[in-house]
Amino acid sequence: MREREGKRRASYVRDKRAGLAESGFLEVSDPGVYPTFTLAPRPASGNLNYTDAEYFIVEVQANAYSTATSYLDTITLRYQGTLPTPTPTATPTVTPTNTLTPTTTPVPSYNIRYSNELGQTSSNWSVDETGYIQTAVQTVGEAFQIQLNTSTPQNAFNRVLTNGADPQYVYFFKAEGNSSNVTIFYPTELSKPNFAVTVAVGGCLTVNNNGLPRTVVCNWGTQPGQSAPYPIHAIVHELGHVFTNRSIISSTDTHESTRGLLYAALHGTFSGNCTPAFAPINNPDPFAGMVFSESACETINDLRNADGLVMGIIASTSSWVRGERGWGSGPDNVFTPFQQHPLDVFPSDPPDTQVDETAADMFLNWVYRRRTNNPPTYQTTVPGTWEGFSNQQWLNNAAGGDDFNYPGDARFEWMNRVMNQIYSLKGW
Amino acid sequence: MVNKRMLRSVLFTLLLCVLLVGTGQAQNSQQVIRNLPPMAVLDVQYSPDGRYIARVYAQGRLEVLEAASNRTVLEDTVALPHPLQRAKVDWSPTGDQLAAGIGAQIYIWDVGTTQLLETINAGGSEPLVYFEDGSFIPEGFVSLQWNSTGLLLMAKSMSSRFTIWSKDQLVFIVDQVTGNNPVPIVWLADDRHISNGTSVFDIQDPTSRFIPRQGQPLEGVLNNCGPYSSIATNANRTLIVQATIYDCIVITDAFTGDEIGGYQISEILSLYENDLELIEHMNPIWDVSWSPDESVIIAVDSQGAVRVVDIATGSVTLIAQQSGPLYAVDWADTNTAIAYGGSTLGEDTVFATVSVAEVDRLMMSAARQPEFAITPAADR
Repeated sequence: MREREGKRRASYVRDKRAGLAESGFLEVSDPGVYPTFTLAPRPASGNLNYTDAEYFIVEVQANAYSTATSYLDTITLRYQGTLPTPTPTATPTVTPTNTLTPTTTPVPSYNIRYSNELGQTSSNWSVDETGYIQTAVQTVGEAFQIQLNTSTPQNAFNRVLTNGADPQYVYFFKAEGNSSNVTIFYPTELSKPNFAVTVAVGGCLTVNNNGLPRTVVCNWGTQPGQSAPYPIHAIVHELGHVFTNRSIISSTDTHESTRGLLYAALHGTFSGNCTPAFAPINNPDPFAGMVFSESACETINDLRNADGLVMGIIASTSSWVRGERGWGSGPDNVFTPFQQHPLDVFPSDPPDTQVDETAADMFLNWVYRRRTNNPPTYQTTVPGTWEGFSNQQWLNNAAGGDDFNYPGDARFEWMNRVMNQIYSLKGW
Repeated sequence: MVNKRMLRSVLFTLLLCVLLVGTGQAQNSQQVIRNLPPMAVLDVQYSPDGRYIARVYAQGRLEVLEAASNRTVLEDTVALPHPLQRAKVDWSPTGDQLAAGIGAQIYIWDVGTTQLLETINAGGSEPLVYFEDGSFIPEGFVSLQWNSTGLLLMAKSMSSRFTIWSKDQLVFIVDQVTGNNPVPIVWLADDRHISNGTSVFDIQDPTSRFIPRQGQPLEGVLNNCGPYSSIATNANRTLIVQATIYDCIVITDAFTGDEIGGYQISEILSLYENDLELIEHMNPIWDVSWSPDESVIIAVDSQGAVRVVDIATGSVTLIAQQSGPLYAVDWADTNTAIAYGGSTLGEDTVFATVSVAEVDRLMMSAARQPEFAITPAADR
């Protein structure tokens, strides 16, 4: 017998009979690896261990239900016995359907489509890969749900990323990983032209081209090195690009009107020059009253105020720092879960790419921490018990270490302010 | 307009080469060192009586000149592993001693006897300071200033080591690393507080922290000016002037933190089309100095301009235009001359003095209006 610990996907399925989320059932799954199974009714509160699961000992620390937070229970799974053979989940068919994981619940579906749906049979996501996408989409939806206080993550996801778009979904296109020259084919019913892009083998890219569906392309092959080392995080990062594009508003500022509010916010730190949406003079200051009081639209500072730069411009050199502290993982010379576009891996990025990719990585970290540190806490724990923005540093690509100046909290608070402002201005 | 833009573009490209790569040497493929040409003048200051000018070079050389004759009365060169990006000099209030922050050390000279009185280790232990943009900058000093009595010497190094050295006790009464972003600082009038413009440090506060102030900002400054790149105080240290990377000068009440005046002295940013064009507009003002009567502020920038701003009217006058970046400027306390320094694009020394009479003449004949000016209220 061997035993390992790990955190896996757990969610509550609404109990139709009761019609209340509080009486839902705990559903545990590890997409593409273990079968999804419904375990037991959720405890009302307190801790509960389930020991009769087939593959797991499940420890549940049930947090009190809140309309603002829904459930964010701590789920720890201990594998017991021989690890099971993965059981494939249902392969998406060519039947147009919004449902990714069929359930008997009335919960709306996520507005996403796979390229092997809608007749694109030559572009097949594997079972594992659809599991990655499903998990990423669910994760983003849960973060949005907390932010917007919606009834379901699906509602929140759709409201923020797809409602009102044409077509009204995010399209996931799978390339075969044998060339960086990729042509995206859209379903014939859309009457959209094919679109050629360059995507590194093993990488993903998001197409936010006006007139085409917002499309996440992953060029994943079957050989080692031909897929993302952290595929779920990679998809969340790409959805960050979708979010950035969705945050475009009508504005006299070109960044806000052509690249999106999230891009504009990050660009404020890059240039030291704030855009109207985030400048305190012309609008209510979204950064007023922060715990990290000297953070603003142009800089993220840590506990040391102006002397402790997390992201922004170095006073003595006028050079921009993306920063090596406060990310959920590092260092930045390799791919890690929470730096999907690390600076030292892409040292030749032009300025707008640096800003755009940093925005997507900030989104990625915010999504995970928003789910696992709710309500947000600042300056309480080093490095932190949550996922995403962590109070750690990886200076000069060294091994990570605790950082008691709370750079992760500073990034998180800054992003919360930015996201609040974006949701407000977009009316989501 | 096109020619001007092209010229700016060329100048900026060359500036980037100096600032971002410059004479920087790649020690290995992973290490980029940012420094300045060895012959660049990094700081300059007249003695209080105007008799001498002290200047320090990136190569670690200190010189004291007799202002009237340009005769060198003191010279010394510190052996350094790399040319510096920042170094500072400051005369004691009585003018008999000169502090020079070069590398990791502060050297205190008796200029009358040309004797080195003290060598104080106020920098970091490593010759190169790592920054999170992946670069290394040679240890140096971004701030060095005596208090009004000349008994306390404040310093801040590139490695953010912040010290206050007691001349009487020959020890540090403050010695701490403040962070990773070496923001320049200045003494305030009471000889008790030190400020970076937004935060204040009280040397008697046992918490030993820079405490943020919630001063009132000026409309227009935040949206147009960018982060601060240099700082100075007026003669009695009740007003702070800070200059920014986008050509702004901002005057702040030293004790309340309220911004009371702001000027953008070249093109505004609102018409930029893309990131590169925005960055083209970046023109850090690397040093500022008040006139003794506090009516004018002089500034030098990374594009080689020497400009003065009339505080009351906001009018701007170009005093000189050099081909390379300028890092240092000082208005003599005697109100007789200004001195400035930097380097040429060819990496030679730029150093010049201009009489105040000539500055006045230029201000009368060639002043123009700034991009915007918010002048201090007359009834302050």
